[in-house]
Amino acid sequence: MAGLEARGLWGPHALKGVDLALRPGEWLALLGPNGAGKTTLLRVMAGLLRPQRGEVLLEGKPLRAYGSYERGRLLAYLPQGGPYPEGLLVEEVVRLGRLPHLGLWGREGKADEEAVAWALEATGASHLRGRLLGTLSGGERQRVLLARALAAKPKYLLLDEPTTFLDLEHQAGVVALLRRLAEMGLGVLAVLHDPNQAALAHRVAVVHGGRVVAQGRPEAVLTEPLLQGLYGPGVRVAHLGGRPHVYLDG
Amino acid sequence: MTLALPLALRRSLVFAWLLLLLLLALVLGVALGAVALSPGEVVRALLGWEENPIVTQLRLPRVLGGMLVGAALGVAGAAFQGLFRNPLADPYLMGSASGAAFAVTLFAALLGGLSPAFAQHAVFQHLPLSATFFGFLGALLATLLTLVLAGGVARTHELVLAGVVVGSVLTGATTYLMMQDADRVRAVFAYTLGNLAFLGWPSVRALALIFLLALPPLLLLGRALNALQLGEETARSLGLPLEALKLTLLLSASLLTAGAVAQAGIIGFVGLVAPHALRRLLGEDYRLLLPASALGGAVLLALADLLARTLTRPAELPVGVVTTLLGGPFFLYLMWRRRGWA
Repeated sequence: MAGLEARGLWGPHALKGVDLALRPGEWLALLGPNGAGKTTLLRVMAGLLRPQRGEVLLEGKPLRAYGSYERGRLLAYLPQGGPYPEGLLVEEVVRLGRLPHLGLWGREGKADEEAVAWALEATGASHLRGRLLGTLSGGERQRVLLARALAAKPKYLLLDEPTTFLDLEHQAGVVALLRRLAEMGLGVLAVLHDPNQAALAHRVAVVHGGRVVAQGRPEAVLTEPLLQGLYGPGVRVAHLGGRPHVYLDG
Repeated sequence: MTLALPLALRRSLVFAWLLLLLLLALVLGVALGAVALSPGEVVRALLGWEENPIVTQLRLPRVLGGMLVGAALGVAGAAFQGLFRNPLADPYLMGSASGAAFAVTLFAALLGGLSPAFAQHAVFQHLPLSATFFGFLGALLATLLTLVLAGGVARTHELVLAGVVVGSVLTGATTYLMMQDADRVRAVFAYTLGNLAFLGWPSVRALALIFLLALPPLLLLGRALNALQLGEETARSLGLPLEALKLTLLLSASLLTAGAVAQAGIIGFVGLVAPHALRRLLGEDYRLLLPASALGGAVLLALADLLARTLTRPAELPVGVVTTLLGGPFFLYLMWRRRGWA
């Protein structure tokens, strides 16, 4: 069965029985207050942390039954922030995304070249190819790191707060890119902390206290009572063009 | 970092320069000394056209051994910096060189009861290869101790501080062991300060063997080191077998450090300066940076040894004094540039 599925995840840390399914061609946003367990959930679903109970299924098969390179070809993961090699060329950074296909010693071939070119194209970073990563702006860098994740040509893309520290223009760029990637058939799971960005996703899952407390279409999930329960009584929801719009009532 | 020349061209030029400098350092290193030889004599002796025992028995093993020591330190420094994603990591600052020195001394003390084996300060040239293995354990333990004290690799200042503490304590312990026999004070200083004067053909053979063991794994892991620069989480998500990888890097770099220390004592800053200077010229691609750091370390130490042999003629300085005097300010410059960054 196609998809990436969490079933009854308990532990580590905050998770207290999470069920969640990501389908190909859908952009699913994970929303929730700080410390709710979003990042832990994402890392468990990426196969980087092992749950104490429950399991993650990838295409119907337990994730831990996959070889690590095989998993890397299907699932790409982009952590929040993290170190980045200032002294590598953009092209070299994106090529590292081919590692699950090449292993430590494989020779790069035509398929790798094409995947790198495609990833740079998809993220609008082709013109940055020959630049050093350390010379880019925050927005440019984020697009290159996204291209690195895409270069493996994964079926599922897991992202931890990909819009943090970006200005509005670049936030919009990343959000539009996630939507486009989903339309191309990828399953995209992104932790976001801005409910207005989550409102642009196909589906939203709200994580609170280590559980998924609500999931569904943004307009069904992002309601005033739910958001006030998460973020306090100062949160209001308006509807603009049929879409929920969250703001703070001073 | 300026990129006036296309990177590919610049990278080839850097390697060409390194090879040229290495050749130059070889000829100069063999030519200079108490008896000065002309370049013609040197070349003829090196090519075997002319018998010259000064060249073949004395100077050539010293120069080649010194280059191997420098290469070991350079490549170990690059590997440590890549592994710990910390530009200030090197065998000297991480305490691993001091750990190796302490273990080798302890080995010699146990072996010789601190007396007959230290009869001449040339003793070090005859330490068996098993001393290097002892030094390897010492280097490994000292590195792990530094990591524990620093609470991991992420905090640059804590790492340097912990390395200095571990290094100083172990150097003190080494000196104490050796001072048990006061006649050997000169040898103690020569050893803890790093010296190439004792290198003979046995040392060159020992170093060559260490290289055969430890260099291939490092050179083959260039792509993995590049991926590690994206952070451990990302590296693991790409499918890299992280634990095995880190262990291989740590063991190989420690073995190279121990090999260098067992033959030449503690020589500071070569492992820091060579990869650093080359990173600015080549970028951060470890597939290039590792071999370049080996060449660069060899060139640096060979040139430093030339200074050590000529600055205070007819007396000689331990080469470690030269590298520390030149490397210390460079280190300060790096700290100053990175302030507010760690």
